[in-house]
Order: sequence, then C-alpha cells, then structure tokens
Amino acid sequence: MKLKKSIIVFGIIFFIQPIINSVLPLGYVIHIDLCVMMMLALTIEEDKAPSFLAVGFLFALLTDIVTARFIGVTPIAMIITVILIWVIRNHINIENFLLDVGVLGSGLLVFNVSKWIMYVLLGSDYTFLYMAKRLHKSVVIDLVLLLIPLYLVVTKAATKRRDRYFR
Amino acid sequence: MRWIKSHKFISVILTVFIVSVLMLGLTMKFGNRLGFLNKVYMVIEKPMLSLGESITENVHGIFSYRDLLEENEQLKEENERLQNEVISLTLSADELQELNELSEVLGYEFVNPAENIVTSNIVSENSTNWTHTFSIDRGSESGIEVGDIVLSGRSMIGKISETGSGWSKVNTIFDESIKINFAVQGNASLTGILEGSKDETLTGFMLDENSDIADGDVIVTSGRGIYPEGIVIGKISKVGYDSNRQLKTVIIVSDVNLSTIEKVSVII
Repeated sequence: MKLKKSIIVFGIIFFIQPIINSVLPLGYVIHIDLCVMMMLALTIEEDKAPSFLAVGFLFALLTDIVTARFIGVTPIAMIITVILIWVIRNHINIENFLLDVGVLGSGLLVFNVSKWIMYVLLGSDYTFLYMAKRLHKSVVIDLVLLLIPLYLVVTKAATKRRDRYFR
Repeated sequence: MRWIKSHKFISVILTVFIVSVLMLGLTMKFGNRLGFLNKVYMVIEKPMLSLGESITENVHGIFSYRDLLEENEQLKEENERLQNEVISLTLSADELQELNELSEVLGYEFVNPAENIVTSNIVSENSTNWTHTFSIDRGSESGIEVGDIVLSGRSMIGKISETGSGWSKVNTIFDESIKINFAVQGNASLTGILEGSKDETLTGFMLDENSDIADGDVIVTSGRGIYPEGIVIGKISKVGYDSNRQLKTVIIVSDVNLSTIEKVSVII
C-alpha cells in the first residue's frame, strides 16, 4: 500500500471511529479500535510494507495524544503485535483462512494484554481480573469484525481460481 | 542511510519505538501537555458523534414506532400531572419573602447550588476496553478542577481526571481506578467499597459481612474519602457472598445509562 493511500485510509478510519462506536450496539463496555484492526489486517495482507506501518503507527500516536492518559502506549503495543504476526507468518507461511483466524486472534490478545501491562507499569490500578473479564468479549467482537472482510476476500480469490486461467 | 533504505521495515519499527518511548517518558514527567489538541479533536468528533447517534436513533425509531407512540401518550399524561403538581408546589411571593426574612433573622447561611454546579455537554468518548472516560466542553475557565464530582441528574457518574481551557476528561464510576466508599441510603452504618464494574453494572463489597442489605436498596456515597456524602450511585440488584475473601458482595445498577446521556453537571 502506497503512502498516499495509507494516509487516506487511516485518516478516514480516524474520523469515522466515533460514528462506528456510537452506532454499534455494544454498550460502553466494548470499544472498537478500527485503527488497530486495520493494522492487523494489513500486516496479514501486505506483509512488510513500511509505508502503511509508518502511517498506522502515526495515527495510533495521534489517537493516544487526543484520547489516552499515556501517550505512546498504543504504538508500542502495536509494534509488539506486528512483530508477533510477522514472526508467525515467517514460520508458517501457508494461505489458510483458519490460520489467519488464529493469527489475528493471537494478535488481538497480545495487543490488549501488552497495553494493559504498560498501563499497570505506568501506575494505573487496573487489576488482571478486571482486564481479563473484558478481554474475551473484545477479542471475539474485534475478530468477527475483522474476519467478515477477510472471508469475503478469500471467497472472492477462491472463485477466481475456478476460472479457465487457472486450469 | 544505505542501511535504512535496505531495512525499511526495521527502521520504521525502531523509529516509532524510540518516538513512543520518548513521548511516554515526557508524559510521565510533565503530564499530558498536549491537552489543547483535545479541544481540536472535540470539534471534529462532535459532529461525527451526533451523526452516529442520529443514525442509531432513526434506526431504533423505525423498529419501535408503536412503543414510541405509547411512550408519547404516557409522557403527555405525566406532563399534565407534573404541571398541576408544579402549580400546587410553587411558593407564592409572600411565602418566599417570609422565608427570606426568617433566614436573615436566624442567620441561616445556605449554599446556592446553582453557583457551585457547572452544566456541560459530553462531546467525545475516549474509552478503551478497560478505561471508561469521556470529554466535556467545560474546563478550567469555569472553575473545574481535577477531582471534581460529575453528576447526571442526582446520580454520580464520575470525577474529573484532567482539565484545560474549554475541555475536561471524566473518569466514570465504571472505571476501576475509581474506588468509592458507599453507604446504604437511610442507614449510614451499612458501608462498603465500590471496587469495579462488570459489563454495565458496578461491583463492590460490604465492610461488615453481617450487613442487613437487600435487593433494591439505594446506594449513596458515604462521605468518607474524597466524595461528599449522599450522592446517589445506584440500586443494589444482587447480594452475594465471596467465600474466598469472606465478604458480602453487591452488584449495583446505576440509574445512569452512559450511552444515552448528553449533559452532565460538575460540582466545583
């Protein structure tokens, strides 16, 4: 993904984020972070494209500046997650939908847990149980929202394989 | 330079990591000095949030048309009843004059609530999966300070965690960082501590495991600690017992639905 395209995509995501969270009937307990979801999807799809990574990290930093208590936590958690996905993809390089589900799920889990660890290290008093009670719901919802477009892409690719070109 | 060009991925990761750690260090040392950007973001986010809310309301309205009609009728009746009540309760000018004279004679000083409360609009929600915060459009220029109590109607919904000119951030009672010492309304000796939240309810425990409490009891702030006495937190929906900690536990439902409120009051 080119730099210009990345800026436009992440810019749109940054601005529609409040709409999505107020439209989805998830209450105020689950918060959808589209920027993180986009980063995970692109890490799986685009492998090591530095332009989208740079823009994604920049928007994560911007989100921290305007909303979070500690600036820099989200980009660091993202770096850990992206490296993890990259390492897994390097070791198991198979195009498989179920594998993608596993990788994305692990990514979301690692992102949330590393963010919580940093918050605790920085002095917040959110206990592990408190975080764990919310973690499974948020991971499942994020995963479902991420997998819908991914599944559509996979099925589209699968139908193309059946045309005469692949014979 | 050649190394950077041939290792773009690692370079980006390293740069972002160094910048993030630096920013984190600066925030820890000097606090979030970029609060003014909050104000800029609020300007952008407010129309987005309103758009989202209007979409939700319209979609909800389509599916609950009959309920809305019924509710409208009920509200009309209630409005009429309340108007009659207001007429009967309104003090006449003479009675008010009499009360003022009496308070002067007795030297009774009272605090005018209107002077200590700042009303504000919720402009953005800054929650993550475990931090529950939102921003309001009033701040230090209105006398709001960190730690001030935020209410919706009579119920407590949080406290100010950060403030600047034209903006403040509110930590809601659903955020685990807020610990409140509470009491049962009508019996101040029954006290407990609010320790967190589960889904859209609050959880806590009683200090005395033999406390005589029941479902439906109203929970208020006890006045011990930083919160003033008597502010409504919610109602007990379930009483339980944690055998590991040997504590009587309570689940409290707040009167306030954070997803729907638009205005809050700050006690300054």
